[in-house]
Amino acid sequence: MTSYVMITGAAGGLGKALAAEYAERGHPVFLTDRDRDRLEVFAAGLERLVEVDVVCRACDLADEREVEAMWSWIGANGFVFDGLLNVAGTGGDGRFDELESGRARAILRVNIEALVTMTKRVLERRAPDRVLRIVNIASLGCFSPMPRKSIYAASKRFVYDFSIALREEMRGRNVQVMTVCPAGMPATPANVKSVNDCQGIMGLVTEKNVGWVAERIYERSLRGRAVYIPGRLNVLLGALSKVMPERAKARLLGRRWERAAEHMRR
Amino acid sequence: MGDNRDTAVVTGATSGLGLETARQLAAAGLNVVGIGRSAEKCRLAEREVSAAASGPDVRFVAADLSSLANVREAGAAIRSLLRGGRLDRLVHNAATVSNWYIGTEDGYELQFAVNYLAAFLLTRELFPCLTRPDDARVITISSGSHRRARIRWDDPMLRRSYGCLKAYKQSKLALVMFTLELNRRVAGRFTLRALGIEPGVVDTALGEKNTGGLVRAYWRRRRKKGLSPAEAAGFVVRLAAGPAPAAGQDYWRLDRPVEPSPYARRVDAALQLWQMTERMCGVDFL
Repeated sequence: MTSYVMITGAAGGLGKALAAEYAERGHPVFLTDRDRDRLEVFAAGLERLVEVDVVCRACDLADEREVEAMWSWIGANGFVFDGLLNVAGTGGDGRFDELESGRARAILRVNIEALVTMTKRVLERRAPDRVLRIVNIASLGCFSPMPRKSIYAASKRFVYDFSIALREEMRGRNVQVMTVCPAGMPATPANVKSVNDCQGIMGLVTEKNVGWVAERIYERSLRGRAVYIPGRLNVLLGALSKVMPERAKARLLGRRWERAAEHMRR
Repeated sequence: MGDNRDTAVVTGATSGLGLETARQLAAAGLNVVGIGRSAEKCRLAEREVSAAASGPDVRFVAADLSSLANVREAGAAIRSLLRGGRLDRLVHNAATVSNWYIGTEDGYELQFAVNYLAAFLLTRELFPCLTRPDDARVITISSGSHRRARIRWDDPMLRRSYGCLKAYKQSKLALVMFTLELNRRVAGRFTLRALGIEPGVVDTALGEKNTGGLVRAYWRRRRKKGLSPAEAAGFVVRLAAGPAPAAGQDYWRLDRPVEPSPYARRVDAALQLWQMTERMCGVDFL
């Protein structure tokens, strides 16, 4: 029986790189993303390069009914999974009171609710007698309260805590859970512009190439790592944020994002 | 397009070397179709190139060459501009540089897609028009940096070990291999000829659009030593609009025929690259 690796957010930068990484290494992939056109174009391009089966189905993870519809389709077609990469995530820049209405809820829905639902459903449809590897993409931001990205950073903290707890619960049950806490990964010309022009030296030294991160996620997940922070400097920053007082971190990061935002406006 | 004149297509024709090449080709009396990513810049460039000569038709087509679907659409738009007529010159000038690994919508690496794949696919899409004239020429703008590259078959998109210059060099090497392989494939069947030219460093913003930090500083310093776009375009136009070079002189550095790198001349690697490219584009070509 063919078992698939489910990848959410598969038409985004990290999603595409991970899909290519897993498929090239011989894992059939099941790709989902909100953006049907981009998903289908990407899946077609990937299919031409790899030997394995590439399945794709568009789904807006913020919409509960669409998620349910996807899972009934998956059930009807008998797909089973030995991997889940929860990559889909969304954010919102700016002060909380200035966020457009619905943005905060969308972040909670996609980053938290959808991740929990997908994890639950994949556990229900795991391939028998195989290790199930779950990779949840949190963020380096999950270690700190972040002004101007407050909901986002807090939602990623949820991902971090949930994943580590789940990992403990699943001990001895053939389920591996890894949390990834990456810094930024510029993956579109617009991100690149932001990093190159607006985030100053901190942007340039903490950001990592998305393909480089994808390869390492694959390898670390196979080795059963609990937490993976891509990049040595980022590991250091992660350690630093564990010992720094919350309010001091918040003030520091608030200033950084304020400066970047000012730069963006210019 | 008026059919009494030769027609040239120039990609990346809204700035730098491409814009100058388009202008000089129009001044030399050729109809010109330019391709650029931004519709706004296309409009401006169309006006600028038109002003270079009163006789020839000048048209621009907006297309994002990082997208295979867009390349196909541009090909169709140009075929309809040509109204099934002939295309005499196709100049693959468009190129980009990025200091980050960027996956295109098809999931391929940005520099590989823009600098090489688009040239391959556009040549294929326009091929029927290129077989009409007696001496059609496909001209690829290459770079001496191809000499320090090879194709990384285990990770051709360089996803796992991306480097800005590494990806740039590899994409230019692929373009040279394409040029030589195209000549091998059309030999004895079509009169079309592929020619590569390396203009060396040209004073354009190529390396500054998608880069930052040290990489951008490097390109900024480097361009100062380069030829002006007008001077460099002069050599491209000479190859495009001048007398046909002698047989065997398929690769040029400015106005001198030179040998591409030994790797670029490898027939087995060129075949493997061609087949991989066909697969990536989802097409058969020649």
